[in-house]
Amino acid sequence: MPEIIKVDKVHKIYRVGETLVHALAGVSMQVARGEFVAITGPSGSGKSTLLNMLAGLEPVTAGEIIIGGQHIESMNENELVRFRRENIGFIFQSYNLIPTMTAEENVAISLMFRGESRSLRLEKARKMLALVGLSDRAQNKPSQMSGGQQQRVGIARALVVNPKIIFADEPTGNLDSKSGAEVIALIKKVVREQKQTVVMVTHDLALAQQADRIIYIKDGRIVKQETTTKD
Amino acid sequence: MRFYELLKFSAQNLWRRKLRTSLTLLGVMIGTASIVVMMSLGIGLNYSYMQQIEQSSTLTLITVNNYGGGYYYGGGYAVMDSSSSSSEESVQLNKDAVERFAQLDHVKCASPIYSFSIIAQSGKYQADLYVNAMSYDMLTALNLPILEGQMPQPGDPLALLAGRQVAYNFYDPKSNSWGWNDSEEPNVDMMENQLFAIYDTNAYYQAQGGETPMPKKYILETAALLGVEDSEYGWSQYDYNVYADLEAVEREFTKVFKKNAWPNQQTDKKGKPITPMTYNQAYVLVDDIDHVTEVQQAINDMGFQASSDLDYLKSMQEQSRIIQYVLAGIGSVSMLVAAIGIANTMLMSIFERTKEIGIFKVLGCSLGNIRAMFLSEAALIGFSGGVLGIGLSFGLSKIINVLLNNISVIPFWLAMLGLGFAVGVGMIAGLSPAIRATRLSPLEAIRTL
Repeated sequence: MPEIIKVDKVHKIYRVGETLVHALAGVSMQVARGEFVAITGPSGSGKSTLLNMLAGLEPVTAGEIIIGGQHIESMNENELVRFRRENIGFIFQSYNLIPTMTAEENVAISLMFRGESRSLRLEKARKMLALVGLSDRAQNKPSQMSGGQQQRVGIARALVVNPKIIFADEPTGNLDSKSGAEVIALIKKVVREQKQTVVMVTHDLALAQQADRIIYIKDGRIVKQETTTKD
Repeated sequence: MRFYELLKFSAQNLWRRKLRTSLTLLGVMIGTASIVVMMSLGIGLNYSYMQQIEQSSTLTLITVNNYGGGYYYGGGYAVMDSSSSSSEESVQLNKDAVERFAQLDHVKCASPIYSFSIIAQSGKYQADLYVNAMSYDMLTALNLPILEGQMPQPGDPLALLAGRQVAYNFYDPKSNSWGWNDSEEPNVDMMENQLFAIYDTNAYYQAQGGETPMPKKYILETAALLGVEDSEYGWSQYDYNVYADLEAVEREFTKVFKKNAWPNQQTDKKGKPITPMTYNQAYVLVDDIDHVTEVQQAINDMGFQASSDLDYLKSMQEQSRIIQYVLAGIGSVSMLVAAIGIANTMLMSIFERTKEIGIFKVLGCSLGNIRAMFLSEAALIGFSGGVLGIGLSFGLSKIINVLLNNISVIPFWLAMLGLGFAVGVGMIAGLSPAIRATRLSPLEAIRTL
């Protein structure tokens, strides 16, 4: 399968006071199109930093990140915003829905940034909500929904723009284990049905097992990669 | 993002914070109203100047003088030689010159003003009247405000057009008392009583010594009384002046003076009248108020001295403009306070929405859109505050006009200017917060829980 993400010897160095912290020390990896990859490791290992750099949210200190043929380490802020708008869907740990908007408006918001008309937007949003099983919640505000439902709205929002890659940052971190499992199952289903590429960061090994491949990170280095056995 | 959606989105965001938004709006509303009302006072002042001058005179009328050329008071005495009176080449204000004025662009009508004194008698009363004679065309073009009687037609015998105040000039020379006191009507009704005129006033005064014979008297009619009815600003110049048709005067004087010099006509050293006749003044009527300055300049370039009430109006307007600036300056202080209010509200709103802005950025909202969102929110505050402020201004203006005799005028352009100003101030105040919003790091924003 062709690779959609290529990470080559990426370093990330933070300056904390006088000392330099090596958050990532020469990470190289690839993700193939349609693959569901989990990045895992203990907290402080640099897994979230890697995800943020893949999504162009943090600058790269050294090395190359090529996504869909584009070097994102050399993009400026405007180019990064456009890149995210056109290629990436993002699922957050804390859902990050806009509290004043209904579920369907929240899903439609990324389409609004693309300049699509309101009617088309809402139609697509409702379709997506149906896909994640929330048709009856379209008019609800986030505060009227459970955490699991809110995260499903978040997934619908990430999917609605039909992105090339979906990044998920601890998508189940704020959920109880039952809702977490549901959300992961949903992500898996979507990956299969929509042939999406998903990169998920989690510290929960059991969840990571649900992915096609697991990348273990420790102290800013990839220590192990393994393909999960499919049942 | 589409423009309409941007506005709607901004309006929704403002609606979310009703109390803060309405307090900011209140500031803008007061700021706009204070500027508009202050300026309306200045404009009202300007209007009243304009009306005042328009009622008492004709703004398109240029008066031409010829101070450069030598001229001559009284019949028979050569006072100065015309060729030596001016260092420049002497210009003569005669009929040829007036003809040249008439040929200038935008000139509707031009006429020499032949001014002279006569002694008018009616019964035992007598008056010195100063007559301004001009062409029939000029008399009609001036639109003299006729109260009683009518304009004499061309070819009619000489008749006066006298202001209604002129009758008060009649006095009794024997008792040397005026024919009236403050509360009384004048003793002579110029329309009703028969007038006799002595045109050769020099001969009349010489005859007072008893050595020379009294000059002849001629019957003189008054064709019309002039005056502005219900003048708001007191009497107009027409109420005091005496006018006559120049051609009728010329016919009459040819008869009266024969070969001798006419009143105010220049004479050579031998006492012979110099022709062509030169005049002290001429009137030039311009087709439009916008061309007065231009025509005035052209006449000045010919070597004459042209002046108009427009000069006066301009200096009045200059004054009222300064007053307007001062008033608008006072008004802008409250607008400045309102602008600070807008900037403060927008900054608060950014701090509150840091997370939202971050999410938008992660989801691919362009920096331009984020800037536009905050700018349009600020502009919306300015616009709504401006609309309310204009409404308030009209209300205040009404109240001021009731209390203080119509001194506040809000023309349409002022209302639009006030509105535009409010929107502009809003956007300028919102600019820095909007740029700040685009600089927020998306990651920082997401971390804010």
